[in-house]
Amino acid sequence: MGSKWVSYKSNVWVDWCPGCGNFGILTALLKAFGELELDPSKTVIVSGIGCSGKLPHFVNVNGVHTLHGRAIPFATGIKLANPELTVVVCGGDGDILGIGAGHFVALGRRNLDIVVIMHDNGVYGLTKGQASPTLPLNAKTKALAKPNIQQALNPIMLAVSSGYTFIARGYAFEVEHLKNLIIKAIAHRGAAFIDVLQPCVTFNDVFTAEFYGKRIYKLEEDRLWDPVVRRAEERPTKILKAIEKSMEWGDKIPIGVFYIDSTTPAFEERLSDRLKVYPKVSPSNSIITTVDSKPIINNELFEKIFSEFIVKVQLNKHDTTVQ
Amino acid sequence: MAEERCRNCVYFQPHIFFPYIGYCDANEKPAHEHGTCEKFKKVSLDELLSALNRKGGVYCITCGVTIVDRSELENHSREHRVVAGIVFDEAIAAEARSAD
Amino acid sequence: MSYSELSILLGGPQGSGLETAMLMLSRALAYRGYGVLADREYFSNITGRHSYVLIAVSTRRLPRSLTYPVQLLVAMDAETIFTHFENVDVGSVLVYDKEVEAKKLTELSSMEDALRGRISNNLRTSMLGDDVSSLLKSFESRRVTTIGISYQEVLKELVERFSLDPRTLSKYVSGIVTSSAALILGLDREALRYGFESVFRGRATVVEQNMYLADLVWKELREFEGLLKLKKPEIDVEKVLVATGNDVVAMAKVVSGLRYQSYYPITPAADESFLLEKYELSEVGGTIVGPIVVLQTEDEIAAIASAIGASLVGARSATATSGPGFDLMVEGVSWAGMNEVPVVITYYQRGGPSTGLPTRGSQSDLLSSVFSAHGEFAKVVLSSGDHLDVFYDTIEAFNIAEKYQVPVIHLLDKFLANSTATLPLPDLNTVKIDRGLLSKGQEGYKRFSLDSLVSPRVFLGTPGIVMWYTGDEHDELGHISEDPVNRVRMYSKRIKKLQLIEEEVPRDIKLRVYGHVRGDFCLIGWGSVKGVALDALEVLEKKGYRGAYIEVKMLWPFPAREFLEAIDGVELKRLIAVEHSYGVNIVALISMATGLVISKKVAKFSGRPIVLSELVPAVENLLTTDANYVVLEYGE
Ligand SMILES: Cc1ncc(C[n+]2csc(CCOP(=O)(O)OP(=O)(O)O)c2C)c(N)n1
Ligand code: SF4
Ligand SMILES: [Zn+2]
Repeated sequence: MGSKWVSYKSNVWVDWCPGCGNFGILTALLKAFGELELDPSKTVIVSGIGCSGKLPHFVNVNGVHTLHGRAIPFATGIKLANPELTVVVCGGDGDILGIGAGHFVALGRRNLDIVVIMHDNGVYGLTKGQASPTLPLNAKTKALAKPNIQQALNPIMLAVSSGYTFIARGYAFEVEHLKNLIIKAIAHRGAAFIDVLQPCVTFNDVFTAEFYGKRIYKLEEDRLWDPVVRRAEERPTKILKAIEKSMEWGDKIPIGVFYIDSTTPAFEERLSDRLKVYPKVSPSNSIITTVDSKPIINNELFEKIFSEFIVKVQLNKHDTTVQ
Repeated sequence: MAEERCRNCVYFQPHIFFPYIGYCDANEKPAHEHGTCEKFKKVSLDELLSALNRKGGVYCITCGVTIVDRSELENHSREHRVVAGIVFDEAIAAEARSAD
Repeated sequence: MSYSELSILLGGPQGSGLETAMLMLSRALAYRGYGVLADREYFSNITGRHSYVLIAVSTRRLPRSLTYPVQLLVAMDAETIFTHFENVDVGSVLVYDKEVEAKKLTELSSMEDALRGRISNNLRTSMLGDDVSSLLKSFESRRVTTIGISYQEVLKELVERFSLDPRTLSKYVSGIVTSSAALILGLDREALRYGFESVFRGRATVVEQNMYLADLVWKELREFEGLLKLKKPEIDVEKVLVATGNDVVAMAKVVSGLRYQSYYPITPAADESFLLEKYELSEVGGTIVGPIVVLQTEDEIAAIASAIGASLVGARSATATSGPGFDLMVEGVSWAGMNEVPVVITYYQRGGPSTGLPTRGSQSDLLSSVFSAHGEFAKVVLSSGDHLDVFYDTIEAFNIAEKYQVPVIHLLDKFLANSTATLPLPDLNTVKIDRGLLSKGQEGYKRFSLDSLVSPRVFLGTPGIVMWYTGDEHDELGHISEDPVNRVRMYSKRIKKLQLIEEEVPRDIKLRVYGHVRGDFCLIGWGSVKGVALDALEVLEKKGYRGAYIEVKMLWPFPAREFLEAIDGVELKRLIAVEHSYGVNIVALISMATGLVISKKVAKFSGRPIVLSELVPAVENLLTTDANYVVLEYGE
């Protein structure tokens, strides 16, 4: 362990504003990778567009910096076609819950084994501070001319109802704590979501490091807090508890794991029920040509596979009509 | 007065496309519009209203629409052929092509 | 009298068994060696609206086009008789349900008012009453043999004999339609049985019940047997595929090695993905074909995005959609262009703008697909003229995508997608799978190496190799770079691949010439215009006009050199462009690429396919008058 994580840094200069919460998230991620000793060639970070979207370039594992809001569907294709890979999505709150909210919900419904880390800064950072879907009604951050006229949504609650099976909240400047959440999320089989509270020094003067510093506490400090679903029957009660906890937002803001359910089958398992050879044989490792670049389906196989479309002509011998 | 044939019976549910054949709710078997039986009960506004209450909807064959409202039923039933139910063909799902 | 070519129209309410009847009849005909092409016309509606199938049958070849008038009209309801009254030929045959004789035009609740108004006017001008029996009388004066059959009696007997559940009636009505058509065409009952069996596969009782029903029809209509007898078939095929364009694309994708297909349901694309799901994994004689992951996504944006993701890790991947869905995919296409990702988009055009005519055909998305997506980058737009071309071109689309690392749009349309055709089995010995420049990588691998226009591709996930992708301008490693020098090199690299494509793609994929170019006229078109254009050449030749059809298959990059070669020496005024659109927009592409402005155009944008009987006079008109623009409108 130790400083192994340093080798996961790429050579690209990190161009976020000094003091940005993203530095904490990046460091926690690097440390988690280091601790798990992930193979960089078997790991992918898929990001959207925004300040957070640049993250993959700063990490020395495969990186795919996609479209605004679409990191999740890109990641979905990557993971389904090569289920061997560890796939982590990084996106902003605007990216994931604004323009990309439909995909966020869809990933939960599929429970595909992907980790989504949401950089939750309450603002659209890279477009200069407009309100994001997590900025509360009437909040007035400094880039806003008037107080926010739209409400915030509750990301944890949305994740619960979408079907995510690992749901946590971290804080960008609790790096060790966040690192541990990321490790757990990667280890979890199924769709995992970490909402990371992330101070934006430039545009969000309401939800600052000082604001969070005074309020956050760790769920696991409460010895009675048990977010784990061990049997399917426990789901409803654990879901209600997670939702209840997610409404706690004021003088005290909880971070930690809200919900873990390992009783719901991951999408890969559902798929392998249908595609018996999957995930061992997958879209990315199955052969599609013969050695001489022919399709593996030859004429004979074609007729066997698609027999339902083939009609063997049987001329009517009794037909006396002329041609 | 209408003949005592299945066609005029409240239990007769005609097929959606071929309304001369249908299903008899009383005998629980296929029926034909010219059939007869001792359970015959004439279609009447009262019967249709009670079907409307029970099932939530009745069907106007003349207009090809489902009626869910009492006063609409009264309007249609004055001159149209309204039935308490229709037989929905199971081929519809398979035959249907996707649209829009 | 016997016939070598016939047009048949089957009509009835959507959902009442028409689809099944069309399949059974097509298969029975194919079984006896006839060629069939059946176009399916239907409303955007689940059940109740009028729907029909227009079929071309031939004893001489696998038909390429449809035509009016029809010689046989089989009407399941009154609406069909009213709607297609004018589509039937003198001396033709009408089979109808006796029960509907008293039906009046005003009683047809499912008919659109516009059509009702038109029919009503026509009836008035022809001094006809507005009920079916008046139409029947007038048919007789046109020497149309009207054959009434009481569906009621046939069905009643069937229901009683087999205690059928009335919910299954449509299945048997398809049997009546198929049997009566078969009888009139002189098909034998063994062929009919084949038709039933191939559709009611594994349901022996349903087949027997339908055969019993065929006997009833035979008994009732005995005197009409062979009234439109087909001649002996002389098509030299032992086996044919009977399939829609959607089916053919799916089969070709399986052959091509597709491993990931995403889709969001939309007409007329969704059937392709359904079928792929059925063939997601096959095992035949020890060979495993697959797995293909077929994913129904939450929208088309996710469809293209996930297909790109799957491609990055090395799966041949594709998505299928039509206009509204493609519009949503466009940002993804731009990303694929920027990141040199091979991905295939099967684009089935339908009538726009907006949801337009969702179940009807068109070719009006030519320009919006060619010019789709912001920024400049290489992409390829391919089209196909008929079902068999669709097969080979689908595979070619993947080869081009991977060889040049570009998104490929395979531009088809509803006519190809939904029409059922008999086609020869493709010969897979002639098919190659070209995955382009692949590598296992090495220390310091650069995904976007500037050493060559097409950089060696390492699949993401390859052991020991790390790579980056980004939609931002990037350096050779794939890291963001706004450096102007790098920008110029990278930007040019991506676009210059177009030149490579123009130079290397075989001529046959780009453009084809049929007929005599230096004759009296030269038709120019693409996609589903092919069949009807080729047939028009033959008819026009008999009328004394020799002509050619130039089919532009690769629409982008536009094959300007090949096009100019093809029309070398032909006067501009002899060129006639034909398209299912208002603008006949191929003309705009041609003038952009060659500077030539073609002024003669044949357009059709009613949502119905161009039929031979209207294309021929349109071309004659353009050749003999000053007219420059003819709009075709035939078909309900
Ligand atoms: C962008 C786009 N994609 C796909 C379609 C095709 N389409 C039409 S209706 C529909 C789904 C309808 O389902 P739902 O919204 O549940 O409505 P319902 O028919 O059940 O009332 C789809 C996918 C479309 N019109 N536009
Ligand atoms: S929702 Fe659509 S398909 Fe279903 S019953 Fe209603 S109209 Fe028919
Ligand atoms: Zn009515």
